[in-house]
Amino acid sequence: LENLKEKIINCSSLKDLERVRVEIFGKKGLLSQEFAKLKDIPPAEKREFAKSLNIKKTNLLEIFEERLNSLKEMELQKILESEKIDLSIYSSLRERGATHPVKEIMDKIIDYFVALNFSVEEGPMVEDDFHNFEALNLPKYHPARDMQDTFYLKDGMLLRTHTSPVQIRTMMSQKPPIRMIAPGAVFRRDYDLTHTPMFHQIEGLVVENGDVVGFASLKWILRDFLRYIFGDVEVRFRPSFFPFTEPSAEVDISCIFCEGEGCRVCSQTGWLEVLGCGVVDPNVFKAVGYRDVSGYAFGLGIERFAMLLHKIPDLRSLFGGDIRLLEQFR
Amino acid sequence: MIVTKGWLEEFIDLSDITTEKLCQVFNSIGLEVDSLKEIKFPDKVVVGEVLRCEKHPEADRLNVCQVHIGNGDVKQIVCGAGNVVDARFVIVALEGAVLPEIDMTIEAVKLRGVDSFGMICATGELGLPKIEDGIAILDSSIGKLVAGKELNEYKTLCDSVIEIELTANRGDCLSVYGVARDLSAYFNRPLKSFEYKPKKFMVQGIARTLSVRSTGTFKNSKLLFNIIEVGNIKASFLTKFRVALIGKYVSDDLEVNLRCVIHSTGVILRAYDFDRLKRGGKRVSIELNSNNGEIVEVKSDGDTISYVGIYSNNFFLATQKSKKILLEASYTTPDAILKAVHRDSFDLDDFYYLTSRGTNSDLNIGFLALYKCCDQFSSCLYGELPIRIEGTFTKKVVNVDIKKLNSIIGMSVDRKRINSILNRLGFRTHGSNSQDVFGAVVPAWRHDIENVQDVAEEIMRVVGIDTIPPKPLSLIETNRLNPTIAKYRAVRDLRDRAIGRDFFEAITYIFSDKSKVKKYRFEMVEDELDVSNPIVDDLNTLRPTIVINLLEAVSKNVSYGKKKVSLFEVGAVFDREREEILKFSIVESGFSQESTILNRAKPQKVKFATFAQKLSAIVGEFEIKNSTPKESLFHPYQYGRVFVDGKDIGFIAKIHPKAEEYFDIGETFVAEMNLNDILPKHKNISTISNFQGVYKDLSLLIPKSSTYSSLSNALKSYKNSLMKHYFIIDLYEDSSLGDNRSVTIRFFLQSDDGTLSDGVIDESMQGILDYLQKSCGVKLR
Repeated sequence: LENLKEKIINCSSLKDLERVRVEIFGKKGLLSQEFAKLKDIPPAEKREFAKSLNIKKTNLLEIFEERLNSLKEMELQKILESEKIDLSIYSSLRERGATHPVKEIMDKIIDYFVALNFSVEEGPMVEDDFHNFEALNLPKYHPARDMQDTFYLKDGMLLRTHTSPVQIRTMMSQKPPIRMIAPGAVFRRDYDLTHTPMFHQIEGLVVENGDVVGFASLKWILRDFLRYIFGDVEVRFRPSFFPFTEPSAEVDISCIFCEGEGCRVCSQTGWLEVLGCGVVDPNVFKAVGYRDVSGYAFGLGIERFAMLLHKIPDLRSLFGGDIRLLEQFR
Repeated sequence: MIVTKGWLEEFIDLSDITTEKLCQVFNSIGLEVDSLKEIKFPDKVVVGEVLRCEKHPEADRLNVCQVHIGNGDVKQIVCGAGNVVDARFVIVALEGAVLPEIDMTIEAVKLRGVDSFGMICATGELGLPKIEDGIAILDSSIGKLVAGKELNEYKTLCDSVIEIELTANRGDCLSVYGVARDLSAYFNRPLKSFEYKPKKFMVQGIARTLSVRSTGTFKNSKLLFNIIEVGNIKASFLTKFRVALIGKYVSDDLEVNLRCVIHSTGVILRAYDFDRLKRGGKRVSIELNSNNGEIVEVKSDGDTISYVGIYSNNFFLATQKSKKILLEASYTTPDAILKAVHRDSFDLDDFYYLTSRGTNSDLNIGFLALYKCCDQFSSCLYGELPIRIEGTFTKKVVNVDIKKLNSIIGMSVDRKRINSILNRLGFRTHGSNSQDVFGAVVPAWRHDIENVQDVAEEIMRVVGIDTIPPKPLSLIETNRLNPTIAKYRAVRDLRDRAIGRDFFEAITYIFSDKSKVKKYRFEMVEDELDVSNPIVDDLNTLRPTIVINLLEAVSKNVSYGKKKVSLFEVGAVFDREREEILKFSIVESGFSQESTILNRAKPQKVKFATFAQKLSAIVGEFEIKNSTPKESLFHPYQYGRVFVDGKDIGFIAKIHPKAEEYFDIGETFVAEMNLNDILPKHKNISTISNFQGVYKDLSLLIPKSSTYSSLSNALKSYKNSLMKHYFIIDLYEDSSLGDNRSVTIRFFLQSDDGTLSDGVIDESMQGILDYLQKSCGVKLR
C-alpha cells in the first residue's frame, strides 16, 4: 500500500489521477480487494485489521484529495494562461463623440446659476427694435447703437445683437422678484479672428422689490461665479458704460496664462476682461413698467470663456464642425 | 483719447504722481488705459546750434553746417534736409549715438569728400511721429535751449503718452482738460486756473467789419465769434510735437494750433478766411438760422459755411496764409446733434465724432487757449470783445437721495464726500449737509447724467469699486425650476446620447447660402422677411435646414482627410413665415466606425441600417415611412419621413449621389427632426400581465412594390386585445418568389386574464392572417 501513496502523488494530470482513483478506490479497486479479505480473517484479528485498513484508506483519501485539488488548480492555471490576451490593444477605440466646447461652457455656467436658483429664460432670435434697443435705453439716435453691427431683416425686424432683449421679455411677462439667466445665440455683422457673425451670450438679471440689491450684490455673485469657472483668480471691477445699466462696470480676472505677470494674451496688463455688468438703469425699468424695484444685470460671451479656458486661438474655428478641433474634447 | 502727463499738468498738478499710479487711477475711475508709451531719446542725442550753413561744393542738395554742440565745441555736419538753412536749434546725434529706429550707429564719415561728425535728425529718425518735411527745428517751447544738452533732459519732451479707451457716454473726457477734471475729483485737488490776456488787441472793434444776426428759435447751441488779424502764424515745436503724438499733425501751422487747442480744451473751433467771406465787400455778415431749434446753420451772403457741430464748408476755411481770420467757437448739445443727424442726412466732418459725444461749452476757454498758443511765436491781433450768441438751455437738476444712492452702490458714503466729489466734477449742489436729499445741478458737459443712478456711478468710480464690500445673495426664495430648465436638461441628455454614439456636436451659423438652398429646392424664408444686410454671400439667408451647413462641415472634414465624419447640431431653422423652429440634425458620412483594431482598420461603410440603429439609440423609438423627397438634396428612393406617436417630425435620408459629388463627400446619411418632438414625454403605463405570453412568426408574401409600413399601418387598425406588439424580423427575396418578397413579422400574444391555450393562439394568428389577406392582399408563404 505504501507505493499507492507514491502512485497518487506521481499523477501529473487529472486523467492519470482518475485512473489511479479507480485502481485504488473503485468497486474492484485495491482497497475493495483488501476489505474483501476481511471475511477470511479470524474474528479475533478482524477488528484490528479493519481498523488499520480504514486508517490507510483515510490517509490515502486525504492524499488523493490534496493531489486532486492541486492538479485542478494546475489545470485551471493552464487554461487561464492560455486565455491571456493583450488588453492594451483595445486602447483608443474612439467610440465617443464630444460636446462642443461652447456648449460645454454654457452647460457649466447654467449649472452654476440654476444651483443658485436662477431660472433659465429664452427669447426669439428674430427681434424687434423695441426689445433689442429701445427698451434697453438705446433710443434710435444713440451712438452706442451701431447700425453697421446689426443684421436687419427686410421687414424691419432684426437678429438680436445680444441676449438682453430676453431680460425685457421676462420682465414684461413676470413680476418681481426675478432671478434669471438667458443663454443663447446672438448676431453681429463682424468677421475676423475674434469676431464671428454669430456667437453666444449668457445674460443674467436680478430684480427685487424695493431698494434691496445694488452694486455690492453684483460684486459678490460675479466674484464667486468667476472663481467657479476660472479657479483661484483675482477679480477686478472697472467702471464702464452700458446704456442699460448705471453704474456699469467691466470685470477682469487676473490673467490665467501668466498669473498676472503680463503676457501676449493679456496684452501685458496681467488682466483679462471677461464680462460686463451693472445696476439696471431706471429707464429700463420704466420701459417695462416696473416701479420701486432695484436690480442688477450682467452679460458675458461664452466663446470668449471657451477660448480662454481651452486656449483656442481662432474664434471662427468653433463654427465649422471641424473634427480636428472637436475630437480634442473627446 | 490720447493724453500725456505733461499735457495734463497744464491743468492740474501731478508732480507727486508717478505715471504708474496715474494709469492705475485711470483704470479705477473708468478711463481704461489702452496703452502707455514713455518717450525716450537715445543717448548722445543733444541740442545743436547751427552757426553757419553753406552749400556742399560737390552736391547741391547737401549743406555743410557748423554746429555748436556745447562748451564751445563746434562740429562740422553735412545735412541733406533743405530746411536746415532756416534752422538755428536742431537735434544732433553725436558720434557713437545708436539710433535703433533707422538701425544706425553714428560715426564720422566723409560725404562726397566732406567730413561729417554727426547727424542732424528728423523726429521720424528718433522713433517719434514725423514733424515737418526735413529735420526738426527746436524752439524754446520745450524749455531753455542749451547747446549740448541731452534731449533726454527735456522733461517737456520725455513725456508719458497714455491712450485711454473711453466709453461712449464720456464725451467730457475727449479733451485733456476734461480728463484733468476727472483726476481733480479723484485726487481731490483743484484744477489750475485758466486765465490769459492776449499781448495785443485790434485797434478797431470787430463790429465794424462783422455783423452776426440770428433767426428762428435758438436753443441747444451757443457760438462765439472773433476776428484775428494775422502778421504771421507759427506753431511752436511743442505744439507740433503734441499734435503729432495724437496723430493729427498737418503742415499748416494755423491748423496745428487749432487742433492742439481743440484736443486740449474740448472747445470746437473753426477758423474761416475773412477775405473769402468778404468777397470784395467791406463787411462780413453772418446769419444764424435755427429752423428746427436743433442745429444752427451758419450762412454768409447766401452760402452755408457750416452746420454747427456737424459740417463746415472747406472753401471758406482759413490757412496759415490767411491775412484775416474769422474765428468761431461753438457748442451744441449732443442730443440735438444725434437727433438731427438721425433724421436728416448731413455731410459730416471730423468734428462730428466729438460733437455727437459732447464738447466743452465753456467757449471762452477755447479762445483764450488759442490766443496763448498763437502768441508764443506768431504775431496776431485779436478783437477785444468777441460776439456771443447763446440759445436757451434747459438746466438739469438731479435729486439725489443719499439713502437711495448708497443702496445702489451697496455701501455708505457720507454727504460731505459726495458733495466734494460732485463739486470737483463740476456739479453745483444745493441743500445743507444734514439733509438726506439734495439737488445737484449737472454741468453742461455731462449730458449723460440724468438720474440718481448716474450720480451713483460718479461717486462709485471715484471712491473706488474696490472699496465696496461684496454682498451675498439674500432674497426671498421661490421655485424657479421652469419648463425651460426642464427642456434644457432634456436636450442636454439628448446631446449626451448622440455623443455616446460617437457623434461630434457642431455649431454652425444660422445662415445659409441662398444659392445652395435654392439649388436643392428647400422651402425658404419669404424674400421680404429675409436678411437685408448679410455679411458675406455664402451666409445670405436664414437657414431652412441645418443639413446644408452640416454637409459643408462634412465636406471640409473630408478635405482634411477625415474618413469618418459624424456630426450633429441642435439649433434653430426658419420656415417660410420665418418662425423659429428648433431642430436636431445629424449626419454620418464615409465610415460608420473609426479604423481600429476592432475592424483591423477595415471599418464598415455607413449604411442606412446602422445609421437608423444609431439614431434610434439617440432619439428613441420612431417609425419610418417611405416617401419621396421634395428636395433634390436627397436620394429619391432612400428618403423616409420619421414619425413619433403618429406625428410627422422629420426625415431620414441618404444624400443624392449628385450632391455627394458636389460636396465631394462619400456616401452620406442625414436625419433632421423637430427637437420638441423627440424630447421625453410623459408616459402612462399599461397593466403588466402576470401570465406567460408567446411569440409567433408569420412569413408573408407581399408584392415587391409594397412596403412593410403598408402592413404595419394595417395592423394598427386591427383590434385584438391579445396582440401586444409586433415587429419585422426578416425580409427575403429570390427568383422563385417572382414579383413578390417575403416579410416575416413576429407577434407577441399575451392575455391579462390567463395563460393562452394553443387553440386561442392559433385562432388569433389566423385572425391576423385573414385580416392582412383581406386588407393588404398578402399571401402566407
